[in-house]
Amino acid sequence: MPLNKSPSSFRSIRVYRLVDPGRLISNKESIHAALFGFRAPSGNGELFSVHPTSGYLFYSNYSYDEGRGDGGGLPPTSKDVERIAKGFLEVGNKRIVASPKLRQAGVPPLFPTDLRPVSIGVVGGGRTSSRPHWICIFSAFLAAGIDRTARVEGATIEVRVGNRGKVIGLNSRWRPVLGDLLTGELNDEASPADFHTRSPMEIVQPPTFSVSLPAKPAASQGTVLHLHNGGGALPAPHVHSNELDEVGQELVYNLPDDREAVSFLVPMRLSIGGHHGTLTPASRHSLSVEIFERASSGSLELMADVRGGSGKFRYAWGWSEIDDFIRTNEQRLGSSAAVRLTPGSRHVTVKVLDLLTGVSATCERMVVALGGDQ
Amino acid sequence: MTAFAAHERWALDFGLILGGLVLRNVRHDRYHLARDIRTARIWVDTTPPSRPSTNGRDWRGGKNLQSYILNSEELPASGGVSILGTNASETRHPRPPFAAYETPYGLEASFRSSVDYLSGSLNQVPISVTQRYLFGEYGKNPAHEPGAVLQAARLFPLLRFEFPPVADRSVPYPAYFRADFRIDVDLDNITESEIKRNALGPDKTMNKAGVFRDYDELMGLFGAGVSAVKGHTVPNSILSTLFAFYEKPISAEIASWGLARVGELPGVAYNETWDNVHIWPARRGVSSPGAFHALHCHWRWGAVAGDPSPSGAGSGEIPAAGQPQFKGLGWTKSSGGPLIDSSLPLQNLRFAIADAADTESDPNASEQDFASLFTKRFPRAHRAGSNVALWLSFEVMRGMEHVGETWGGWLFINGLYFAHNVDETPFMLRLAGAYGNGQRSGLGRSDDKMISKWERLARDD
Repeated sequence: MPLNKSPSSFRSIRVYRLVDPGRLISNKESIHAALFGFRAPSGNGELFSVHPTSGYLFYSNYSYDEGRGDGGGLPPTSKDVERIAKGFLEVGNKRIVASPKLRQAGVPPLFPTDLRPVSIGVVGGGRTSSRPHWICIFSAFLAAGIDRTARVEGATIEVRVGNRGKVIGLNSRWRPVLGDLLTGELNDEASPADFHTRSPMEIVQPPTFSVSLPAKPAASQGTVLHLHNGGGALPAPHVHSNELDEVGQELVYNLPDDREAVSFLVPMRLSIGGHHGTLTPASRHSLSVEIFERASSGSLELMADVRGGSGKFRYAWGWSEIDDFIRTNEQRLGSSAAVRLTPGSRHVTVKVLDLLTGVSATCERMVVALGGDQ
Repeated sequence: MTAFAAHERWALDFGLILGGLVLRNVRHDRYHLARDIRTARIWVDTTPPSRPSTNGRDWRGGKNLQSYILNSEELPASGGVSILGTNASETRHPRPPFAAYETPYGLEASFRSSVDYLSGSLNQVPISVTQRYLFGEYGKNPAHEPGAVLQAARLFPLLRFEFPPVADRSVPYPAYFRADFRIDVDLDNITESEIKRNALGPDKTMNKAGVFRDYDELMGLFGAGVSAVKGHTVPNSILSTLFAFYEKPISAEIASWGLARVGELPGVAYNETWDNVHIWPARRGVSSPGAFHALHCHWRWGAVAGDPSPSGAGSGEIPAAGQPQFKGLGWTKSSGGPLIDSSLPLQNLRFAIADAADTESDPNASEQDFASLFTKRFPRAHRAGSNVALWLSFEVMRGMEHVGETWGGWLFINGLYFAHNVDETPFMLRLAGAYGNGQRSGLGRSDDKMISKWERLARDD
């Protein structure tokens, strides 16, 4: 296919490769030591876990609530807490990088560098079982190109800070990044050829970029929930106008559910409308899949509606009875773009792997297949 | 109250006390959910209660009406607390479609009456119930709401009862069972200002509650459904187009109906009941739909949520529409069904949202007429928030088909789910007033007058 567009109309965007959660799990003790100074939780009200699928980190020192061992007061202001929380995450990253064992194991820095506070405040005390402490919640942003960043949808990092600025809790819904690559950006869904190539060797130029880019927000800005000390409801969170482009779309990197294993973090466009937002691919690597149902005589046909990617896909369908435990009894359903279900209620999953890029996407839903005419 | 459990993200205290297996200080990811969760009381009778009028004082139970407190002398525990989780099958939710939610951790206790109910009769039977709490993982697969946006963790406070086949139909036999649940909700309120004033003191734990009834049909966000309706106090393009009736937040404490399906129920029709309750921290605005930091409890969804048509490829209206967890029993395209155990189809549900302090000293309190526990005084104002307890009273009638066979099943199978996310309400919804408040209910047009009605229904009065 001839290259008939000017080079200036081609725009690149970043895709991020994620670490295998298995590396985090197998180095759990060393990670705990790097973050908290001890190889293992004390077992005295301390808990540290790594989610087996997502690699999300969770730490909590419940002994703080019993008032053990630490006097002193809470940091006085939210600015102090933000500084402490960010400092903890930065130092944690440095220790991870400096650890020969973790470097050799291929464990990258655990936290993103572009963190923006969303909410900072005090919780606990009084009727609750928790002692008062601060909670600082960050959203994560990634560089999408040389002059712009994008929010990571679904990623939050919460740091809880107790007396004397001690970190007593960490909830990191984030998947550490191994590296990144550049790919072509998609900005117009009207051309199916932009989504699929006819061969692995074909280069398809995207059309001229037609939507104004948001101005790059400064790293210190964020969408902070401002808290009031009066009664009554708070105003809606302030949204910076430059977070959305002119057509109400936001460029994001989409982190899936905890239970979905993914290897890449890809850019998507979040379009706002109706009761929810919809995500559409924003790059040649981006991929999403939905399950579309169609009744046919005596059965139900399920089709994988794939958006984005190269067009060279591998499908893996699985199902389990709804009153059966999902993971242990999932059965294979097929490996093509469409499968049939006989009557019954089932939990169905389809995983699509792009054979050219290695990006995968999963959709799972419950399906009721009726007999006869549905 | 004994042990402390911190299984992955859930942390709580639990114990076998008067009131059964009770959970205290329930937290997820260290976010507070509830101070106390329990089954406050169960009731058994041989006939459904007589309800000749809407006045609760007129309501009467049958002559065999008895109530039991779990783990009391009359209904002691048989064994201790079982911690579930060593194998997958024991923590599996017993009823589809909720078995699709991963619940890797659970607690269970069983109770059996010391004296048989209807003792001396041919139909004498022991009262036998099992409490099972199941704790879910945080996520959105399966979806918790039809938009498939919200990540949350499920908590199922299940109760099972069972009676054998009736030996002699000519004499009274167990035909009515009721279980009251009490949840002392305790969501975190972030208070930066207090730390600045160095005024940390007793947590005021102000939470707000809202009640909603869904439309059964699909309404556009800016569709023609917006209209001036009697009782619609605040023009609000979101609430009125997404919900048929609502009080967000409730103006005052409320004791009303969630399901009215069985028996003579003067003053309430099946389609005038509420579908769900949401409770959120009073100091934060909450979006509707969304409620990204809130306790959610749905026992019915509008029909459109159970219809796969809006979720089809290219449509994308409601991505998870049509999934079984949104259909309910007897779903049709024009009416969503209740999320109840299909082996117990004859159920009603009443609920109350009331100050927790009133029942804190006696959390197992219960009255023959459920609402009478609360209605001895005027409802207190709630618009600014208060320290609330959510009560849910499930009552089950025995159908004729269950007389000759075992009658039993699980209650509260829908459970509740707890979300504690960064607010991800879409921008356009924020502009359109998703954080707005409003009322359309049997409250009447003005919400400034003193509220005297506890039982406000999902209808225009």
